Amino acid sequence: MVRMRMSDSKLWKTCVSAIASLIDEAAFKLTPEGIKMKAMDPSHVALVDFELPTAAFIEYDVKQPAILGVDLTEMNKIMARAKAEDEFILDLNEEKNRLILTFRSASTRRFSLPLVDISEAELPEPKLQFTATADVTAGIIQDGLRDAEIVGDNVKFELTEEGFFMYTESETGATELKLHKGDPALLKLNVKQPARAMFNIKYLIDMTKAVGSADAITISIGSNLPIQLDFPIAEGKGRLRFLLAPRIEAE
Amino acid sequence: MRYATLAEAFEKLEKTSAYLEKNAIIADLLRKTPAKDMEMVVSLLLGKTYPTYVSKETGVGPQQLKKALAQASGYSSADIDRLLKKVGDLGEVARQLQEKKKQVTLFAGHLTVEKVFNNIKALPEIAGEGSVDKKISAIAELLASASPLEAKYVVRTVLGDLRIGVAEGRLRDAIASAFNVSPDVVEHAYMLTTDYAVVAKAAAARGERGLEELGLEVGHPVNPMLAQRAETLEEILERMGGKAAFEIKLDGIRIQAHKDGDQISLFTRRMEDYTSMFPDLIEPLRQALKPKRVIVDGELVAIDKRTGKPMPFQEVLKRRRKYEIKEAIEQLPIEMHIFDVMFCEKESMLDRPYTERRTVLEKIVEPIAGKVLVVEQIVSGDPDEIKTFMNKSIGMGHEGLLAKDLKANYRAGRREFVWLKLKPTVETLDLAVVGSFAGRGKRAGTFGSYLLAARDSKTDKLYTVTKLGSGFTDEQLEEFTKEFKPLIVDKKPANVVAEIEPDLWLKPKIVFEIIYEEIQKSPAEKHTSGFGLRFPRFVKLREDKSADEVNTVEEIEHLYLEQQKRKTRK
Repeated sequence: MVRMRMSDSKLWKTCVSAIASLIDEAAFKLTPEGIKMKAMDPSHVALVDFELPTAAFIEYDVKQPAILGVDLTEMNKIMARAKAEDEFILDLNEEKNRLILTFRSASTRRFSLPLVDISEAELPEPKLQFTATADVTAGIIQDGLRDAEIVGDNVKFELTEEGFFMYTESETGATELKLHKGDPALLKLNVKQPARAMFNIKYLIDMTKAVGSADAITISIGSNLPIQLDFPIAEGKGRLRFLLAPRIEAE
Repeated sequence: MRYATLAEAFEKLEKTSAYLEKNAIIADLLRKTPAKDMEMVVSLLLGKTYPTYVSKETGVGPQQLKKALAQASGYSSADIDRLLKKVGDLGEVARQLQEKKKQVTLFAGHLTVEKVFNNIKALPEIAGEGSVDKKISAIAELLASASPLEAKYVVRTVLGDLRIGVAEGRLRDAIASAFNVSPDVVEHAYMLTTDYAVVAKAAAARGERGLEELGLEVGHPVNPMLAQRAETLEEILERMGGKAAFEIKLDGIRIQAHKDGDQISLFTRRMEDYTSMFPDLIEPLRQALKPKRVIVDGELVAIDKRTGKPMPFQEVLKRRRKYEIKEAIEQLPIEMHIFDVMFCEKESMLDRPYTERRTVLEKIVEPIAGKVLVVEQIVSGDPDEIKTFMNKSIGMGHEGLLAKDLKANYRAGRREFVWLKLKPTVETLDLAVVGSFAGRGKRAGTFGSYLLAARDSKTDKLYTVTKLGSGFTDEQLEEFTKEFKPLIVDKKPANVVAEIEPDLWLKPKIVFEIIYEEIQKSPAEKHTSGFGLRFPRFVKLREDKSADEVNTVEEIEHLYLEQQKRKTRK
């Protein structure tokens, strides 16, 4: 038997929404300790690393490890129907090989979702030596990305002792965002070595859907390395981490 | 096997047009290919992931490919358009983009033949909401791990435009030299399977013996046996030992039907899958074909409800493509006329003589009137009987007869002298109607037949060629009688030169298109043109032509000389 219950559906809803914008299908690994999912987008540009321990649930009943192949596009459509305050229950109907999603508040609403076969993909375990890290209020990043989107396809992230900076430049113009050390929205700054790298804006917008604007995002970069974004989910008990490969800056 | 090996061979093939060189490149590639990848490699060489007889659309065009390229390379679609304009080929664009990729990947694997084959093969099956994005993703996934050269050929394969100059025929010789087998044996195996992927695999595994073991498979089209053309009945009887089977040669399209349990598939002569084109035949065939598994050969004919005669089949296909199939079915019902059996239950029939196959055929088909029939046939050596049968075929509006050697096996994909078609006529003639004869018996009260003439280009006068009384429906005879009455004149028109005296002279205005079996010399006291026609038959009224646009006597003379040449050549 598999049953997972959460007091509200907000967390699952936002996570699925962000992940589904990158990948179509994913294999969720269930163990008595919790849920894990790791997957790469088809272009091998982005990687999602998602973990929710049992502590994130008000009820968690998984006796045997199991792998659930899920069509995330479909699951996202269902989750879009949930209200944030709905109690959310995930059950597995093993006989029919379906997931049962239940939303409970004034009424009880139920959806069933067939599981899909997913072939085990080869996943990289990159050992990345990030040289700079910052915690930034999510809303600032989200706004910065929306600004950048008007101007171009790519955004440069820069972390120095002075602070956190985003630049975008294209034929149509330029934009920049600056957060200096001491600004309230720059919650933490740790720079061993200043770093700079460029990334595709669209991917970043999709990834940052997963957090509320008041939450903090931990950004880790190294020069021309992938960027790592960590979101504090389930009061820091879970993990939602994205890795995004850089763009090469034109000479 | 790495896809790179294949892409390198493609590149070499693209760069040379020399037959032998190409042959050597393919043979070399095939020798290097491990058994488990052989079918995939051969399919990809032909730019496909399905056998040629399966028609499936990937649903991915240049627009979607550009998106996949943008996704994988980090270039904008504007950049890609600019590059495409410059180099003209999206495959080449892919190669160049891949060389100067702006987007780094987290992980690049090695592309295998299997991965490329499977991702492309899956494209037609991706359906429903968001399917376009999923297709783009499947291609982007390949591009993510592709080298520049690999990217070029992945893109071209998806586009269905490989441009390496490898046609199916070329594979015959390449397989033969790769595995040291005879090209004839390779070709024969192909005729039975219509799939070089299967052929190559068998040749690689067990050489000629492997090829000889390949047989028919229900559901896979067989190259049909074709007929040579005969000029005369005498020629046929001589070639076939004085006696042969004669079948009505139907004017439709050649279709082979495969039945596997409840599954019916229909293939054309060119091995295209036409099953979905004729939903109205599926259930009747299921019922009419008694064996569980069987392959039969036949002709689909559309019968025009008004005239009871076959319609040109092009018209049927056109309507079925243009309108809802349901509507077209009601307007133009079709019949399947079966004349041969290639496979029955567990056994190939190909090596059995004609007479045995025909006996089996008659046992396993339970005809359904107006839907599924067995082609009418006689076995005869009697010219009169055969000619009567020929007239019957023509009378039904069909093309003539097919003569089949009683002892001949079914030679898939071959056109040999054991099947001979005999058509009554070579070409049609347009002739002017200059007179009419009163009908007798059933035709009493109407014009029963007509006197027709050709124009002499020097004198501009009309000279008679033939009397014409067959090929008309009763309705046409009545209609024409009424319509032509105003043209009656009381004496021979001044521009007509005739010895024959019709019941009524008609002002030369009407043009008939007619067919005939043969042009003969005629004494001038009979037909003034000097030529006459054997077995003339009415085809249609040429309302678009006037009497001065009919065939000339010179043209008829030319046709006569051509015909004599053909006769003596045989």
